[in-house]
Formats: sequence, C-alpha cells, structure tokens
Amino acid sequence: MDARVAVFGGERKTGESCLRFDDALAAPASDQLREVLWLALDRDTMANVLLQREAQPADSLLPQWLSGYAFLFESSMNLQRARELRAAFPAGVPGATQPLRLRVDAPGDLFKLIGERVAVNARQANLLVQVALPGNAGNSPTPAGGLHLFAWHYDSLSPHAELEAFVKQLLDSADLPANSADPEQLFAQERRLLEERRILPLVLLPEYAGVRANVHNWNASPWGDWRLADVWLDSEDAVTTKAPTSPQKNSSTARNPGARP
Amino acid sequence: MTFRTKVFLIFLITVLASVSLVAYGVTFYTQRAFEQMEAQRTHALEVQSEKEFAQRGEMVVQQVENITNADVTIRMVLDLARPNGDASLFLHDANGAAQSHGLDFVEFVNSDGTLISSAQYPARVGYKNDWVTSAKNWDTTGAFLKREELPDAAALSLTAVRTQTVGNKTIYIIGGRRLDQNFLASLELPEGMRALLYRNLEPTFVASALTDANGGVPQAGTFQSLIEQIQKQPQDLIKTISWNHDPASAETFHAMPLKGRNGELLGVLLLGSSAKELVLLKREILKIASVVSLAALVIGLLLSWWVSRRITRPVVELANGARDVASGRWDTKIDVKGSDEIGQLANAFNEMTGTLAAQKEKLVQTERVAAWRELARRLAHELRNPLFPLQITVENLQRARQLGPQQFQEVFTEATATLKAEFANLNSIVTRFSDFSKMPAPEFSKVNVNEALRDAIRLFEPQFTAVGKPHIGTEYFLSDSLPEIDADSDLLHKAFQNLVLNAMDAMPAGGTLSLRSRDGGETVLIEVSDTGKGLTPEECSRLFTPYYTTKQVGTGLGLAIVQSVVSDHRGTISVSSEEGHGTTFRIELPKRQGGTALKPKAEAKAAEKESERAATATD
Repeated sequence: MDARVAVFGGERKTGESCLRFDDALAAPASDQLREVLWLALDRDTMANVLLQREAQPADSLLPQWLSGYAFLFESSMNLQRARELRAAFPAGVPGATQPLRLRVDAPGDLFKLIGERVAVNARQANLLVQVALPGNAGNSPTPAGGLHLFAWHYDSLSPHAELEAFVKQLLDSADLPANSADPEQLFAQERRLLEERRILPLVLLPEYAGVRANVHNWNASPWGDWRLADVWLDSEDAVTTKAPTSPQKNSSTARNPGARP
Repeated sequence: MTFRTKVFLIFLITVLASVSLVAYGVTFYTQRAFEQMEAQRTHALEVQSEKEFAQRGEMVVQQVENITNADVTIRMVLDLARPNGDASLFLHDANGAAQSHGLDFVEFVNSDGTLISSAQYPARVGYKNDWVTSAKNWDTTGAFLKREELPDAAALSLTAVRTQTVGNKTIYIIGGRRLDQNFLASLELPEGMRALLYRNLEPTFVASALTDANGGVPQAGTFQSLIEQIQKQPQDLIKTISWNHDPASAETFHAMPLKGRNGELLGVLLLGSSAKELVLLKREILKIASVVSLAALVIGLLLSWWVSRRITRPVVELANGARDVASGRWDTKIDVKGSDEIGQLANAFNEMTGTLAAQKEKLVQTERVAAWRELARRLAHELRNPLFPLQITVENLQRARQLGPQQFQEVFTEATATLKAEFANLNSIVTRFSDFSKMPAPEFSKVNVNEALRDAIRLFEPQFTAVGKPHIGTEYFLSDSLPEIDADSDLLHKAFQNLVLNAMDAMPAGGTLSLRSRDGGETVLIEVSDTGKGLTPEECSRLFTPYYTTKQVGTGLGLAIVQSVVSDHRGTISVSSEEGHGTTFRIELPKRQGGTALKPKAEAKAAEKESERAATATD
C-alpha cells in the first residue's frame, strides 16, 4: 500500500495519521492482534506530548469538522484489557516472539516519531513492533505480516466522498458504502469500518507550509486551496539575508502533492 | 654389554639428563615468569579499565551536572513549576542538551517520574521512569551502568542522575554515554592484549553484542560458553581459547562481569592476552635447548667415550688377566699404574697370581712326588709279587743241586715253569704300564653307544653267571632313539670294559649292574651303576688318579684309562657313590667331534699298523 501525507497549517486538522494492517495477517490471530493494538494506542499522549498539542487524537476516520458525528466515537485506550487479550494469544502469533513490522509510509521525522510511539504503546501491551523507515525497509527481514503507518489528506468537503475514497484506496471495493449523503448511514459505515480494526486512526494533523520572506500577498482558502493570482515575489537579492523560515503555523497553507495513498 | 659400554652409557645418560633437566628448568621457570608477567599485565589492565570507568563516570557526572545547572534547565523547572505548566514544550530539549554537552543519552524526568524529554527515545516521552523517583540522594551518587532502551535496540550506558529543584519543583536529569567500542579504544593496551566488551542486554548469548575496539568480533560464537557461564554465575573467569591448531593462536581471556546499580549483569569485559609471545618464547627455548642438547650429546659422546676408556682400561686389563689366569696362565701380570683403588687392585692381582704360580709349582711338585711315590709303591707291590716266587724258585734250585739227578730234574722242571710264569707275570705288568703310557689318539667314526655297552657286557656275561662265583645281574635302560656318535669304538669299548671290571670288583658278593643311556641334546649320557659297597668321598676324589686303587690287586690304571678316553673324546666323567649303596659313573660324550675328520674304522686300523711299521723300521 502506498500512503502519503498532506500537511496543512491551521487550526483545522486537514490530515490524519492512520495505521493499516497488512492483509497478509491471517485471521483469527489477526483479529486479536488488531484489537490488542487498538486498545494499546495512546492517542492523547501522541497528540499532546509528542506533537506538542498541534495535533488532535483521532478516534474516527473522518474528522468532526467534516462528518459532524466524530464525537460519537469514544477514546479506545484500555491497556489492561490489551494485556489480557495479549496474554491469551496462541503461540506463533506475530508480535509475540517475532516482531511485527511497522512500515512508516510517510516521510519525515514526525512520522518516525509517531511510529516509534506506536511501537512503545505496543510494547506496553507486550507486543513486539519493529519500526521500519522507508529508506531502511529493505534492509530488515520482512516478517509474515505487518503494519503500515500512513497519512491521509482530506481533499474533499464531502464526508461521503472522503469515506468512499478511504474504502476505495484502502479496503476492498465490496465494502464501498452506499451512495448516500445520509449521516446516519455514513456513521454506520464508518463505525463498521472502525470495528473491523483494519484501519486504526491515530491523530489529526495540521498542515504546514514554509513561505520564504520574498513571497508576498500569500492567501490560502480555509480549505487549503492556494490563491496564486495575487502572489508576488521580491528579487532574490532582497531575501538572501532572510534565511528560510521555519514552518509557519497558521500563516499559510501548502499542499503536499500526491497526498492520496 | 661390556663394562666400558655401561660406563659410556651412564656418562652419556648423565650428560643428557643434565641438559634435559636444565632445559626443562629454564622452560618451566621462564613460562612461570611469563605467566606471572601476564598476570601482572592483566591486573594492570583491570586496574586501568576500572580507572577508565571511574574517569568516564566522573566525566558523565560532570556533564550531567552541567546540564542540571544550565539556564535552560533552570528555566524548564521554573516553567513546569507554574500552574498548568506544559511539559510538551520541552520535548526536544533533551536532544539539544545531549548535543551541546556531548552525551549520548539525556532525559528530563518530571518530579512524578513522567518523561519530559528524551534525546535517545523521544517516542517514550510521557511515560514514567519510576526507577528515578524511587531512589534518593541522586546528587551524591556516582555514575553507574545502565541498560538503555532505544527505539531499535537496547544499549549499555554509563549513566548519572542529578536533580534540579527550583522552589518546590524538582526534575531529574539523566545523562549517559554509550559504552561501546569507543570505550575499548580508549584503553591503552600493551602489545599482545586486547579488550572485548559483551553487552549483556538479551537473556541469551547474542554474538553481535560482543565488540572490540574495531567493532564486531570474528568468531564471536566461540565466547558463548564463557559468557553463558558468567550469565549463570557472575564472577571473574579465566579461559583460554585456541583459534586454530597453532598453539600460538591461543588467547587467555580474563572475563570480568559488569554489573548495574542493582547488581544485575549488564556486561562482561574480556581482557585477552595472546599466547603468541609465550609460545614463540617456548619454541625459541626449545630450539636453543635442542641445539644445546645436540652439542651436549656430541660432547657427551666424546667425553663419555674418553672417560669410559680411561676408567675401564685397567679394569679391562684386570679382566683379561683374570681370563688368562682362568685359562691356566697363572703367572699373568698386568701393567696398571697409579695408586688409586684400581692400581691397588692390580697390584693385589699381580701378587695373587704370583702366589698362585708359586703354590701351583709347589703343588705340581708335590703331586709329582706323590705320583712317583705311588708309582714306586705300586711298582714295588706289583713287582714284589712275582719276585718273591722267583727268589724262592732260585733258592730251591740252589738247594736242589744237592739232590740226585732225577730229583734235581723234577725240581728244575718245576722251577723253570715257575720262573717262566713269573717272568710272564712281570712282562704283563710292564706291558700294562707301557700301554697306559702309550694311549693312542682316538680315531673317530660313527659308533652306536648302546651297542658298545652291550658288547662290553657280553664279554663278561659268562663270569656273571659262572658256577661258584657270585651272581651278578644286569639291567639295561638304553634309549632306543639314541643316535650314533663320533667316537673311537676300540677306546670306547676299552673304557666300558674297565667300568664293567671296576663294577665287578666292587660287587664281590654279587649284585646288579645297571647300564643307562639317554639323549642329552648335543651330548649322550651314559651311566654305569653297581650295587657294591660304595666309596668314601675321599676315594671318589682320588679315583681317577693314575696308579691309585682301593683294591688289593690292580694297577690303578683302569679308571685313569677311562678318564683318558673320555677326555680324548672331549667328554666328562663323574662319579657319585654312597657307602653301602653302590657307585654310579656318569659319562657325557658329545655327539659330534667338530673339526675332526671321521675315518672308517678299517682305514683307521690300517693307518695305525702302517704307523707302527714305520716306527719299527725307524728303530
């Protein structure tokens, strides 16, 4: 699976970091494994500590601002229960003696940090997870099954379209929801998807864009669209003394090309 | 083995043993000295590594204290001391502190044990480090070994903990440096030594956890048993590892367990000392010892030969002299100079042979006189017997001249008969003595001993059973498998006849004559036994002396002739007797007369006659 991230700046979280289980993980061990990891994930700490409150814990596939019902999905963390389930694992389940590989399918230290945090959470539930970065993926032996950490960018303002995109890109076509804008149906579809634990949402992320000082009249729409018609640039000489800025929060937006997985 | 060879070998062995002993002693003491030196080097390295640990620990403590007292840290404590202080703002501070203070591991821990920031494992931020809050007096605690969890693996670190308190707020600052090959590279090792570090971070042996100053260790699996032994019982161990068949490849490792703050085994420091120098030294000593031994062998050979020759020469001369004496040269003298024991022995030998020669001469003279006396006695005795009748007869003849012619004729006739008989007797006596003096040399031919014995008996059998004479029975115990021997049949016959006659004389009241023969290997054994009155030991000792006899009649030449015949056949004769139980003569004759050509008996007789004719013609 090929997942990419689109990072936007602003209060609205326009991207999501998710875990997807490899289809190669065989049931029923896979069901237990997914459930243990689902219960072990500490999304609050990820968002508030690792991401320094710039992100929000994600308990649903679609954010609240997009679906309007995300608040109905409650936080899932239950470490005690995760350990109990882990203790009942049959022998030979991946993650028990052989590490479960977590492939980080997104660039940057941020996703590496999130991946390592997932591994730490998993270890709390006595699951062995080994983080494999994109550049190192080929170096380590490939376990029987694994996890993929990827970022999802919300391109549309339609919850149905986003959910459909999720299913199309990540799940079987048979799981496509009905072409309905009914929020209840959407909620039911999303809940069903979440209960399958095949995709575990982690945190909602902002997108950041770094804009150099010689870029003027930069204005982005609330949904992240770029309005380039009014943008103008200073000459290069004027900006040589102004070194590239660090990512500016809430100042502008940028789109990461190819955000779709 | 001759005495000279023995002395030579003793000298040689002594020289070789001395050289070998010296070589062994040199090797042994050199090896011990080398081992002591190795032990001292290892101990020095242990001390050095401990000092290095202590020094590094002090550095870590100092660096952690620097972080603790840095403005950034104090500001962090101040911020966190505020109500609703946000710890997430300091997520990356540990990384910055680690980089600016040159530490591998830095973590800030809140007063409740929550990890505020981690340079080595940021993903663990938010988790609690209870081990930090459970201990007190961190500010007075030195550095210690610690297992450091990292995202991809665990590491071994030399860690120190300090606290920073502002107001009521306290945070813990944990800093450490990785204990890896860089630590080993900092140890100044003498030549031939190396240091290895095993990071005991897994429950079982992991080859990749073993490192030296250059990184991974080839054939790390070789250390598995040693490491596992220390894992079971953490204590110093010494083990020698041979990397290949060459003893010079062996290394002796002194393994020291490295324990953590709570006594857990976190690592093993292995100080290896190569046996190469020792082995090369031993080889060099062995080479020198071999050369010295070879030289000593050559010198020892020459010296031993010279010394043994010098020492044994008088002994050899003494032995030769003794051999000469044994062979009959009683006047042998040896020429040995010197006044030592050998010289005294030689002088004593010369005196002894001189005395022996003189006494032998005396003995010979005495025996000769005795023999002449015996001969004279025997001759007088033998001659007196016929002389007395001759004297009586002559006197009768003188008196008969007074008688008438007829009576004189009768006396004369009787007297002449008597004179003739006695002259014949005298002639017989003279002939016997003459025969003994002219014993012929044996003419050897193949002779059946059993047959010769039977022939000898056959002559006397009529006398054994003659009426009016005591009966003498005969018994034969003759071996059927007895081969023919080389002998002179006439002489042998004469000898057997004499023995039978002797036995008959020994049994005047009759008895049993026993004849035995058997195969003695290279010889044949013949026994002639009688059941007569026997002989005294003194008689036995003089029995073969010529002209000696125990009988009233006889010349005393019979047994002397027997001994002469046996001696001419290169045989031996002995006698055993017990008074009242008879006498046994034992003759042992060789089967073959080496070097003497056998002649047919007819030829031998013809040759004898020819010889006699030649002698007569000459006379």
